[in-house]
Amino acid sequence: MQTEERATTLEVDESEQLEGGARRDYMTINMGPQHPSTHGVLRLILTLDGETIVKAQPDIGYLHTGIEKTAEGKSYFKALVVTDRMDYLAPLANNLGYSLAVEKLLGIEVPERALYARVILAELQRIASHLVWLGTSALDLGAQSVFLYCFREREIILDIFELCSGVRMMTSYIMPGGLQADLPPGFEQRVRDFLALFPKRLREYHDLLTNNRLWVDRTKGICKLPAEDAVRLGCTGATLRGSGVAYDVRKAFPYGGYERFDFDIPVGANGDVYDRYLVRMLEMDQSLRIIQQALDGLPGGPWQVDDPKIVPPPKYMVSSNMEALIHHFKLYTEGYRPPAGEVYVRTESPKGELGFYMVSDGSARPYRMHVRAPSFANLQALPLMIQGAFVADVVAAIGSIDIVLGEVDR
Amino acid sequence: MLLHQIAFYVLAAVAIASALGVISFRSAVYSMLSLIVNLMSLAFFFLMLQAIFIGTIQVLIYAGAVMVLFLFVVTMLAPDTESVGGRNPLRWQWGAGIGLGIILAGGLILAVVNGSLARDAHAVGADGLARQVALHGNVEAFGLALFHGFSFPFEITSVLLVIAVLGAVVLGRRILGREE
Amino acid sequence: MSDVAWIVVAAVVKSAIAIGALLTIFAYMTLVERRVIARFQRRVGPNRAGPLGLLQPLADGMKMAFKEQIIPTKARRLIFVLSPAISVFVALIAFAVVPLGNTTTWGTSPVAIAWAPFIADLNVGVLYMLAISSLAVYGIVLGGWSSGNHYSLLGALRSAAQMVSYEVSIGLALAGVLMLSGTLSMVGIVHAQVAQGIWFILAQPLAFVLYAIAATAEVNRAPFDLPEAEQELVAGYLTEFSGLRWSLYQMAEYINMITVSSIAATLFFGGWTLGGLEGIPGMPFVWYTIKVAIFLFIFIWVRATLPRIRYDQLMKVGWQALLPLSIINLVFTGLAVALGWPWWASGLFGLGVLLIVAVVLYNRLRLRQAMERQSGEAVPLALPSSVRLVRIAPATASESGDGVVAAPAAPAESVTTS
Repeated sequence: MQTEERATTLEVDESEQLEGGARRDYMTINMGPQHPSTHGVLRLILTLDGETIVKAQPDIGYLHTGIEKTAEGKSYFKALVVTDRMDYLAPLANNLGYSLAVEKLLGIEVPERALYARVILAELQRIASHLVWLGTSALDLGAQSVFLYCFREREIILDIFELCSGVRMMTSYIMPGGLQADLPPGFEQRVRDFLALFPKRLREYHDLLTNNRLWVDRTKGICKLPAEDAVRLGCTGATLRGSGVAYDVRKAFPYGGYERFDFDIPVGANGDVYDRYLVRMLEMDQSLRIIQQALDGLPGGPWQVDDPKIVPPPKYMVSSNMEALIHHFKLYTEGYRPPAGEVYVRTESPKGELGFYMVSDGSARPYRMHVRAPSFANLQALPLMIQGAFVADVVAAIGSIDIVLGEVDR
Repeated sequence: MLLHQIAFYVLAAVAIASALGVISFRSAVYSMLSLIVNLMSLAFFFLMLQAIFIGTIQVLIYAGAVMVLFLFVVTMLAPDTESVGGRNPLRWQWGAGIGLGIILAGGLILAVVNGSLARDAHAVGADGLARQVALHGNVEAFGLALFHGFSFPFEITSVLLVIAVLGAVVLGRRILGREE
Repeated sequence: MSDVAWIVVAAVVKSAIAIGALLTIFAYMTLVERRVIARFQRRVGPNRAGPLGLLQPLADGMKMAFKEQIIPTKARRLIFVLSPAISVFVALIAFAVVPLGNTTTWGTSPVAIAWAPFIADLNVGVLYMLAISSLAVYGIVLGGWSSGNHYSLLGALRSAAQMVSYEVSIGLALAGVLMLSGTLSMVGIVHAQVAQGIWFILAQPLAFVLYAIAATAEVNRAPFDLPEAEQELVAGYLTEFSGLRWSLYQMAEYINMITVSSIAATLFFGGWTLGGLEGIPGMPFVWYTIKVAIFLFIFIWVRATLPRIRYDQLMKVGWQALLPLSIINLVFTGLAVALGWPWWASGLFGLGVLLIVAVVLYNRLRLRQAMERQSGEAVPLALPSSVRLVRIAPATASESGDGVVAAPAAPAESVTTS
């Protein structure tokens, strides 16, 4: 079975028998794992006829980190930090999915303030992730400057995260039971400043790319993914919506308070690189709307569940209160034990539907944690998309499905 | 004029050596490179004859355009083929090549001998050209010759080229059609 | 010494100066490019080596010189080693006919003329330039082919096709200018512009635009930098080159940029002249430098702004847009010259064609439906209609089990205001 699989994965056709004894020669190039624009360590074995792709075989696993297995060796409380490392461009989205799954296992509800804060943070994270996507995919098509403009704006968001958690990327700020700490003073103002600034910057990106003839020529009608194929291959997120399927987990299966906010879903029609691009661009607009509403409705009050068995007690109590010290010790050494059972929680991460399947056997560690990674599912559509396309379109397609190899390989 | 003569013999040696290279290299790319060197040395011959315009055109058209397309095709079709290898599949080429070579050499010798003997060759020969150049300037002399003296052959040549282009299109279409 | 010896000495000295100057300009051009692009991208750029980073090229050069020059096992050694040299050689000799100033600077003796500020005033100057630049492709194709790497080979092939296609457009675009000036000599063309009292950009705007596009493609600069498209082909023909050989290719690219800018300045913008101000000693060189510098800046500007074009689109633009337009321009200019019409006839014609092209392109853009954005303010941004905003009613808890998956044809309400 394994040898069979290897044979089908790595077999390379160098030529093809034609009629009349002639042979057609193909060229095989190995794109990646060290290649400037495979967004990490993706390896594509491309069979080319001239510059046209005859066949593409993605070969993954170069960034396998064993995150699912690692999580099964840690307590629920500690496994949170490994989820940051999956989609390292959207750690908070991973935190949110994991926390929701654990909370569902525990059967707890987080307070309102945590709910709103999570929505704000998740949407900021969505914008940050989309900015990296926009910058890198524009860079792949040769538009250098957009890349640096995008990182300039992402920096503002990372600064906000740093303000909250002290960490810029791997924040682990959203945890089962609420947030690691209360939103800091000045958070609201910083986010509002960003809300005021970002639409102008978004406009700049539209000006630079959306109606740029070269950009449109490079993306419109390129690497089409029909809606049926997108559904069949399990694509989600902007990759699916670009093909014209109006499916967004935030709307279809609302979670974490998303049903309270008024926002729309951008949906494409052609399923080409351009539609996927525009869907994400408009999504950033919608994220701004959600943040605006969540910020306006942000209540005060507690930011964690009132259960010392799940969230650690405040530091000042640990050093003065015996009970708190015991809770602290128990939580950090053993953790909490959710009742036996299994849950599947789906969230809309910036990349698509991020699902956490967790099985609890009643112990302090997850019996099984499986992540339904959107990048992995979306990557499956790549060979289909680039069949018959040019080499130059491959990078456009890879950029447009917005994969993160850390999440593909987990 | 010693300098001139040295230059002539050096160029001649390069031209002959590269011409031999064209037919003796096993790798198509090296053959082509020899051909380019050969064409460049011919261009230098034109320069030595004060025909700077023709020399430049020789570089522009042959070395710069025609051979680039050759190189394109050869590197694209056989990027890794070092040599044809094995037995020559077209053995009759040897005989035909030698025979045609003798005819060509004889014809050329005849033309050179005749040309240097014939008195009235000056109208179009090298001397005549040099006189024209001295009179009008290089480009102008060429233009005058082309559009006044030889306008009919010039037009015929362009018609020939158009026919060649059309032929290429027809052949190309037919091959494409068969593939589909 | 005899006159001939003096002329030879003059040519050698001038060549040495030109080569030295070009290499220095190349070195500083890389610094300028990096600094300017950094400005475009809100960065600082290299500023550590020396004041304002002025020693950066020196540092780069040292680094390149001491780097290991790898020759891959699969490479054809001789050609691999030679091809960067071919590139630089060709780039340097092309500059020989660029005039930096007028012929008669002092005296009329052959020796005095030999010291004029250009290496040679060939009476086929423009053709010489085209011929030499058509050879530039060899350095790239042979380098890519001899690397024994598929990416290099693809880069080399792209380059061959690209340069051959665009040379045709360049030649035809320049032919209009040649008709107006009646000479192929670069100095003669500048003199013709002075004599007619105009810069040929006025008489040949279409030719200039075509030349600018084609020349950018010819020197492989963004957005036509396909042969070295780092995002697709790693580094194209440059992939296997390292150390000094790599910098030789870079050198060739930048010198070619300077050369095509010089052609543009000389043929369309009066070369070293500036409305009579060239009479001041030393100033012709300044005017020439300013003009070339402007073009070089535009090269950098374009590179910072535009995405890269795709290979087939590039060929399409070359053969289906640039070539027909340059032939139209050529035919009309020929007509105007033959019938003795004034210069503004072809100028107006060129502008008209440009206007028509612009209107056609603009209309194709406007055909895409304009859409209003969420804030309610009408944004004058033409968004294509393929992407729409879908409003899905918030599902209640009981419904959410069904999964509100709207099919592509589901009733979707386009939202105009929130």
